[in-house]
Amino acid sequence: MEMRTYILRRAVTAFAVFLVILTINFIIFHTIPGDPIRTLFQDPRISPEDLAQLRHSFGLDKPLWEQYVIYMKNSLTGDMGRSFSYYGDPVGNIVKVRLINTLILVGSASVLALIMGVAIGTVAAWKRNTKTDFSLLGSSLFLYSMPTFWLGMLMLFALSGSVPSGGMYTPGADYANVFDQFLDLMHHLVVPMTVLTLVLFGQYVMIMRSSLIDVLSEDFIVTASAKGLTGKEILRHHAVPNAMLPLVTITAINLSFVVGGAIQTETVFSWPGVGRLMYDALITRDYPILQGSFLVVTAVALLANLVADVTYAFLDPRVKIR
Amino acid sequence: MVLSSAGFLGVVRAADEGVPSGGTLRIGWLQEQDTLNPFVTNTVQGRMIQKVIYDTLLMWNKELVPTASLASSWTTSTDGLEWTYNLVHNATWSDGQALKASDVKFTFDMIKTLDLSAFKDQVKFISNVTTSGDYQVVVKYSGQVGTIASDMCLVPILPEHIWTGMNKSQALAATNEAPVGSGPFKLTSWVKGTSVELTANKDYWGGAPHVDKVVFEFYANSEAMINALRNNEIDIIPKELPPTSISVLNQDENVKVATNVDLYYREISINCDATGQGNPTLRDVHVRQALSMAVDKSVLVDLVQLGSAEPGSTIVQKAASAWWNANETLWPFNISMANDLLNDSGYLDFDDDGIRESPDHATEMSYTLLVLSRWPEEMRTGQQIQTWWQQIGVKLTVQSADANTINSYVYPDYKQDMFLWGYSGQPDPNFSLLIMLSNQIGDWNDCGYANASYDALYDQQATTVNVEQRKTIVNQMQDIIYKDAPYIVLYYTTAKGAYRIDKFTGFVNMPTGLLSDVNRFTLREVHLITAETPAKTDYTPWAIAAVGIIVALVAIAYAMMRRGGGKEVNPRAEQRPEPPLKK
Amino acid sequence: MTPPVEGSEAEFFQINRRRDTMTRYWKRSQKSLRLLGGSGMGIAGLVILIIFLGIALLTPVFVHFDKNAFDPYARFKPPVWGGPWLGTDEVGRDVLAELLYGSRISLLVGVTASAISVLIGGTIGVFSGYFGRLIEEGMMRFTDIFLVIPQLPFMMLIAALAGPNLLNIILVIGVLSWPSTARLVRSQVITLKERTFIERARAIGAGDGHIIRRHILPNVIPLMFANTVLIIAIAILTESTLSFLGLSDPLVISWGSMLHYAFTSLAMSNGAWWYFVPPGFCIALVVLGFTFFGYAMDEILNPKLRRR
Repeated sequence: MEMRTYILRRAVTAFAVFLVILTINFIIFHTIPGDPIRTLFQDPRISPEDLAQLRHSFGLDKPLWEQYVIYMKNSLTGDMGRSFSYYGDPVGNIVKVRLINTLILVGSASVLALIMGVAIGTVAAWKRNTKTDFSLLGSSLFLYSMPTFWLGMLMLFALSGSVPSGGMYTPGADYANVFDQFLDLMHHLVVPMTVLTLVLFGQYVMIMRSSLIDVLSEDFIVTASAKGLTGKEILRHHAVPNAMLPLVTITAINLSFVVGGAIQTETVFSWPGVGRLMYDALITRDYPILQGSFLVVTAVALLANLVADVTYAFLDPRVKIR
Repeated sequence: MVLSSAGFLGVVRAADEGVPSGGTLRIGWLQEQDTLNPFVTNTVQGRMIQKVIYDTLLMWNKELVPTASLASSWTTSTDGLEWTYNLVHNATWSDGQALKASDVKFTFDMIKTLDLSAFKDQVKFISNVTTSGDYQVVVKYSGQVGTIASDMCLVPILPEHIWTGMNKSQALAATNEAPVGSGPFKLTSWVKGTSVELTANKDYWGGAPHVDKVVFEFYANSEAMINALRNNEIDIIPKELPPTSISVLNQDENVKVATNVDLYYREISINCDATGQGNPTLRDVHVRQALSMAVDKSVLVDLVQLGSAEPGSTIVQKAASAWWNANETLWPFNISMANDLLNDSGYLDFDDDGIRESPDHATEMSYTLLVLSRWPEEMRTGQQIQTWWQQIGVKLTVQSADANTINSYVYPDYKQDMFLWGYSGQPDPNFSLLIMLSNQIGDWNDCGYANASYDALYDQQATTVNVEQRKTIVNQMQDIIYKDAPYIVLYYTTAKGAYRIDKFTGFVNMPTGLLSDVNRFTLREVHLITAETPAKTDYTPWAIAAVGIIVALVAIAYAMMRRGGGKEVNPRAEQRPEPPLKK
Repeated sequence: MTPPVEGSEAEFFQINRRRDTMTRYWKRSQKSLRLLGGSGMGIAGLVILIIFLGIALLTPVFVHFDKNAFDPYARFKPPVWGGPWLGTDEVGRDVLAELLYGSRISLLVGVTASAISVLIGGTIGVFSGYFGRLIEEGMMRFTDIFLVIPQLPFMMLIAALAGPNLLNIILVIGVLSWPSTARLVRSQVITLKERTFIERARAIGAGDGHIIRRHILPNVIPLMFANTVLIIAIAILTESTLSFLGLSDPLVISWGSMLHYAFTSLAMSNGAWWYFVPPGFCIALVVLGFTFFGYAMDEILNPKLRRR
């Protein structure tokens, strides 16, 4: 089957999954105790007539199936409702900005974790079953066992005073130029990014190590070595690139775990991303924001999986493309 | 007695020369405003911002007495039904247009016509508003009103040319995110979830603020906020200082902690609605009194507020010192008195299970207390009360829920037994008293209390202009409620804030805290200690560190990859076979 | 050459093979980890688990703790030799006692939630693997959906709606953690299905139920053991995260809730390291213990995994 058709089929599947999740979301919203309109307008002074009018303007007085259709239509066009705590502000606008901030944090941490995972995993695989291997694996596992938020708390405590207490930029700062702003961002990014990296790379080490051990036993490696290539060259040009393939997949599959880590890191470090948005929305029980962020994060996860599948199909020579 | 003109004095600062101007004041807070629409905002933060970007005709001074603001002077007719305000002549809107009497008339008319609930109580008795020239407004009332001066401290004057032509839904739906106001500050940006930025209005008719900018920074947790204050990332935490931080901050020589009484109390609201679905034993006043005697408020103050609060009595906040009934003796914390009262009223433990029943044996004195899940102190309060009430034969179940769930129990059917809540008030007691009116059931009245003589007294005080007479009535009303105990007011909170003393000075510590919807003074009076030379924050060491870490890691990675043994291979270099991977 | 794919997918390029490859790689890691000091890792894990299990079970006998003994003026007292060994918390209670009692809840939630998860996952895995075709297809799609949903956000949403109590937390974790078990069991069942003894059983007329009970399950359950243990580890981590975020029952003390209160009551600003370091350390240690033990057990119970 052609690559194009494959991509299409995967995309359709992903879309179908998204529709199912949207439906689950809708069902959940309508099992909240309490009148949704009362959550939106908490001011008890509003008269019943005003409430009825508001209920009508929010479409909450329509029959359930009709609300469902409207909800599906709206969600697919990007209208995810209005926030409760930011009184009426469209959820999409709020989530959009935060998503970028999260991607900065998660992106940099993932890249670093990948690099470290590849590097350390390679060493562990090459020196497998030696003390180096065991100590590397052991420490990776220990970091992996730590709750992310706890690691964040420890670092915050240890570094308090020398690093910013939180946030993405210094409050009220005036920047002379973009470069200064970038430096301020880096200043605030360093510690949360390190925490997230430390939590993520353990798993990458394990996968890389196993994958590399697998690859090193393959025929083509034996051929290469018979042809006289040094171990270093084999590693660099043959083994490692092939061994890195599974990491493509694991990055996507891991997204769920990464999001969890991001939520915790953002909460501890007050990083204004989607994770912290969910935490704030959780405290104020701002359900539209909770749902909206959840949907966006899921959509990104679906997309990442799709991209990973397609990339893998491209990269893996063992996969037949007719 | 009629409040006559008070002149400019409370409003314009004298002798500004020599005070350095400039600088950006950085404020830290934990909860940001919900909206900038003055008709919809339901948060203290929203009202705080509203009070500095808009003006009101009158405003509270540092002793919580209404004084001149937009109205530089005012007069009242002898029957008190007609108030004439003389506006300042040089007030302007932030878009450049002049503020005129027509704007004032427009504001009141709009609220009345559109019946906007946010301020409808303040305009309820206004029968007519007319203007005389560009700077005089005449407001006629249909009946005597005792709260006019404080009412005028609450209604923001809005620009006609911005708000004209809106119907009710438009007015309620307006985001107002580029507000046009006449106040000492203009809102320049609101990055939701991160920060709010206000710029000083240099043309402010009352004198420009000294600082150039004010930035509110929103923190996700108190830990980050306290750290930020200590590390000089922010200059002041106005109000939400957690009690556990006070001892730590007191040890910091660059930080000063400032507390003051606040217009807020926390209470147990007991459902005494005769048609409600709460436990019927609670409708008996003796039961409520006994329960009141089994709560040790000073212990709660220590437990929850670490000593920084006042044990509660009446439903008028203590900070409204002119109106709070200081003669009220507190219910003593006395378990045996409580037990006696219940015994005498016929509530005995008929089935010997440790829980009393009603005289007709039908209902157990077993209650559910709803507490807000949002704050752990609520749960602790509930647990503590549970242990006390156990000693008087009452079983209490503490259940935590979010605000919306609690509201859904209370309205409209009054299904709750009791819940922990809090009320903020105004320097004028009117609102604090209003929540117990029978006509507020289904509205502000969340306990279902109904007392016709109380209602009558309320109407009376609302129309009494003589302050002494009004105070007598207000005291009487507080006494009625206190003895009937539909609320057990636990404590009056203090506003706790802290500020750094190494950069700014001029912070105003008054009742309600360093910065609130009543205290407009701090932002207007705060100024740098010494004129600031713009110092560029040096990010370089950190940037170098960050880049260095990344480079180091990549280098390690690279070095590790290169470090391979030569043990397994033949050192004969040849043409490499085509790697299977497509590059 | 790489070994043949286990199980049959309806996918074209055997894409899901890489997911099975993942499983293989994990298992290989386990194999090597086993070689870590002989079966030293397994022993180490077991020792840790026994210690914590002992603590959890024996604490009520030896340690007295009154949850409601609030004494706000004794808050954040540092550790004293002979006195409060780990100091006091923000309402003056003994941190060590809390830590010991907290172990009970953390372990209870971990074990119960994973029991639910393994039950659901195992059932789905067996049925989809055994019956194949449409049932398998449907169940695997269902599993895929749950795999894609980001766990923590979904749990936050559900826990926020369901309300803060312990049962909800257990259910939420249990109901959202089963996909990995399901996949594992399914691939094992598919392999088993093709084995000759199953064919023989069918040939002599054994019903599906009988085959599943007598032949499939006994072979699958040992293989699930390691997976179960790992799920317990993850469940404990998840419970601590949910409690930290304030979603758990406020009346219940667990390691996660201790960290929640430590954080919100400014233990860090007050320098009360004895309050927030031990609970996190215990969580990490227990999770590590389960992980070590799980990998070691897998090696022992799963001889097929010993390759090369």
